[in-house]
Amino acid sequence: MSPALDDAVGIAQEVRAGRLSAVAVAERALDAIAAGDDAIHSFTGVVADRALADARRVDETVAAGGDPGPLAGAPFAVKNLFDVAGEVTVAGSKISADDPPASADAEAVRRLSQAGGVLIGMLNMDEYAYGFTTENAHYGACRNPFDLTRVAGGSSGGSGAAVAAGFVPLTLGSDTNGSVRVPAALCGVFGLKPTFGRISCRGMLPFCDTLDVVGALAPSVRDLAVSFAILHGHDPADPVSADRPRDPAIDLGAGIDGLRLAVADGYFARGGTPDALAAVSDLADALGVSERISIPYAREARAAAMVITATEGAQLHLESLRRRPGDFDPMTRDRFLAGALAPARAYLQAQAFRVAFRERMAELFDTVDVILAPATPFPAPVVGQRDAVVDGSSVLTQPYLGVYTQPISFAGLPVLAIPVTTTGGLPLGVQLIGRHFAESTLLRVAAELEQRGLAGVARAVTPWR
Amino acid sequence: MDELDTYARAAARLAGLEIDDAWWPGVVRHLTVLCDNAALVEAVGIPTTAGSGEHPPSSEAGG
Amino acid sequence: MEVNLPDIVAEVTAQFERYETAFLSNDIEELDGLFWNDPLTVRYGAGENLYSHEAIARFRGQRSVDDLERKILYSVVTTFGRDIAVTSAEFRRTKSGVTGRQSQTWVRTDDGWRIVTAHVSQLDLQTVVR
Repeated sequence: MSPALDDAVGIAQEVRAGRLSAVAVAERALDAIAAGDDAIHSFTGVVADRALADARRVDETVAAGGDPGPLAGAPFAVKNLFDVAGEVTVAGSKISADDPPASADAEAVRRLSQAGGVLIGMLNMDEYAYGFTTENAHYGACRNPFDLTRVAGGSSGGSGAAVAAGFVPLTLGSDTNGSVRVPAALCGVFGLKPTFGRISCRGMLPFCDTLDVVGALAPSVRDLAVSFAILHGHDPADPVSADRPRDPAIDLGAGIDGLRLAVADGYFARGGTPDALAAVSDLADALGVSERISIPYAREARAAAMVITATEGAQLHLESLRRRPGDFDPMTRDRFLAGALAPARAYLQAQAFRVAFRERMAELFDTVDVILAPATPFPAPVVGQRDAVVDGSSVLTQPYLGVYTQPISFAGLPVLAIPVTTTGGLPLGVQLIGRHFAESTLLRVAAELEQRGLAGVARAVTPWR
Repeated sequence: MDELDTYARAAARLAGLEIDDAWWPGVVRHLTVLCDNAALVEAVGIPTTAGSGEHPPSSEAGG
Repeated sequence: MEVNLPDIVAEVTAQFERYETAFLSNDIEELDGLFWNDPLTVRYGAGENLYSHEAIARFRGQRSVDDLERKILYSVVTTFGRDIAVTSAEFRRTKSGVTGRQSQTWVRTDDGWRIVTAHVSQLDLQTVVR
């Protein structure tokens, strides 16, 4: 991995030991964003006053002999659908920009701040999280720090790009169909999409209540582990929060001996570019994993996920679709409108299918602990690229990016997307899929891969470095 | 496509939506995809046993 | 020895509920009164070990009431003979969502039913990353 100061835990260790000033770290992050983000558009706003005040408090706590927490002085930023006290939650839209400022932090933001994290700002996204490319008409297309002509993925595109660019070492995103895993893969960073219900969604503007989860993106596995340790747990104020105790421990040094790994075949071994499929098979070869497993009904699961997403999303924004349809991003408007016209039968059948599909997926883990699958069918497309060719046929770039992520989140399973470097130089991701509530197993496997040099963050070429 | 267009206009009226003519082709295209997806789900029913997992790659739009 | 004599169970259940009502309203006088007023009384809290009625009363006076509100999820009252009982309860704090357990040993003293030992613990422990 990169030097200690490049990840949140490394910064926190130095700050807690009194060797590094949290204020200096926050200033450095704010300066880097000011200097470099015009070319990337990962941030839609910074909260400099709050960041410096929070950082000062961290430094004072350390000076007084106290412990500000495991994220002491670590800068972080959040997708702009999380409430930040005093800021308007725009969720990538023009319409919600007219809302009053949020009165309190979202629960996830509150927890990271309470653990000593220093919030730096809010991040770009597809409007109302409906997309996989963050080509946002209102706030600009978010660019990939590895190649500024390319997209960062989405919908949490800013969350991936801000980490890859080195602006902040930790970001929050949300994942409904792949919105943490896709930008993590395309930007070459680690991304954790926990089990549905594992992290409180309180104070996060929903896209699709029955699928949304809060996730994190970071340059190291230990950052994901520490942030997950802080974020997860039951919240009675969130109606879909899982009533389940916290994990007592996450053991990143436990290795992978005794774990049963398998590669997803069938649907997940087709439909991607050779590079994307090789990312998985190369990793499997390096680990000596020869087991293959078939994930049933993947295609139908993706279809059902799209029906539910379109329908719920449209109902959520129905008033805006009635009153201000012209103010929607053209990238999302037609899809929201189509979702508002879907018949009830389609939605209900998709939900009924989902219950059974979730059970079938849970049964798969009777014989396996972790399943490997590609994260995206190809590396980052060029901004504005409408079509792509896979297996000799043309597909629509934007929706097709979710082909491998959607069936998995539809079952509510936890996934850790790990970055692997490809021969082409652009990052790609591999999904580590675990049984429900087995995030700690995924973190353990990812830590082993990181340690063996099989996964890790490459250095993005950024214009201000 | 004509039938779908008729359905879509009725559904839009029911939902209280005024959809600009310029947006119609896009809306109907997405609704077509939605219907295709719904038909896939309808056809498979409620899976009570593990399936084969052998399906051709899907290229339909959505998001 | 007779376990769970109905009239004794009713008496102790009433005491248990009295304690919970006092707890929720942070009625310190009532809470102090329900603990046996003796140096031998013990209360292990989620974050503190308190020996003697005096130490328990001192803690009560200083505790944070920020996340006090809680809901009893499950409780068991078991009595042994006419003068000794134990109560066990699972609870969830409303604000933080933290779940925990409370065990109390009750003895009929000359002044009535009193708690002679109590133990409170949290189920949602901090996750350790190593």
